[in-house]
Amino acid sequence: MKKEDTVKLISSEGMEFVIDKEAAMVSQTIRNMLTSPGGFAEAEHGVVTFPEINAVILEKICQYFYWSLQYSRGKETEFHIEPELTLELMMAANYLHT
Amino acid sequence: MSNQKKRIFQIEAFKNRVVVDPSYSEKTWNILDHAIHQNQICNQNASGLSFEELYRNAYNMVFHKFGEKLYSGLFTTMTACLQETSISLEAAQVHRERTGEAIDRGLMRNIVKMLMDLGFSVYLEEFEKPFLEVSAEFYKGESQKIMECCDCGDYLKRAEIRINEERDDCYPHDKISPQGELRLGKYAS
Repeated sequence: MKKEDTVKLISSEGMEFVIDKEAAMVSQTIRNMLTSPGGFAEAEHGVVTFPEINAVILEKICQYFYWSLQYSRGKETEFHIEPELTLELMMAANYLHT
Repeated sequence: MSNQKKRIFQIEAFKNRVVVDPSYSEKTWNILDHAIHQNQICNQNASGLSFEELYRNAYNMVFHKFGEKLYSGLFTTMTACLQETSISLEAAQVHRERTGEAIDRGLMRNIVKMLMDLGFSVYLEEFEKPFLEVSAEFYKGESQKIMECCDCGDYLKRAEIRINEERDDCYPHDKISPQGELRLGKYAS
């Protein structure tokens, strides 16, 4: 993957997830971070930290991004969510406008 | 949180989100305020700022029901910002117009409208007062210069031209208050 097309998302524990920019833009919040004018640090370095989202949730979210892209291209599969993740996942999704 | 797979799924209340610190809202707001003012959002330069941090703080404020504080704080801060920039811009513009240069009328109109939108009282106090003071100064200076070099008839003519100019100036903006106009006329004479 070329460096310019990826962004790095960092969880509260410091775990880093490198994903395609296209996938990250599924989240309105991330999209705004990367595209808003004014030279915010995130847009400059292509790195976003989430001190309040832990690694397990963030991983699930990254999976969701890719699933979402596939779904919009016609591949209608199911996205399975473990029940114990739902609450935190919901809050993170709300935060990320996803 | 959830129980074993065999039992019915339950969600317990989210216990660890209680905000114990009473000054939490104050601290959070200060972070945002600092970012807006000192870290140059006012000057349209946000480099080095973390969008995520600001967003997270704003989000937490709303989440913990401090949205009103956020809104009113933002309002006052942005008002102050706008006033600083627009007043200095206005004064410069008006001065240049009086000395005969062409100015960007559209810009003027927008600035005035912005100030008006912030609240009519804001407009009155923050803009008209200094505006009228500056006008008074200007006219005093001008009238003295004219008295030194022309006669009475000429002076009256010029004064009339000035009054008309100012009135035309204000009508396109369409918003100068009636008192403002009167006082302007007084200074011109």
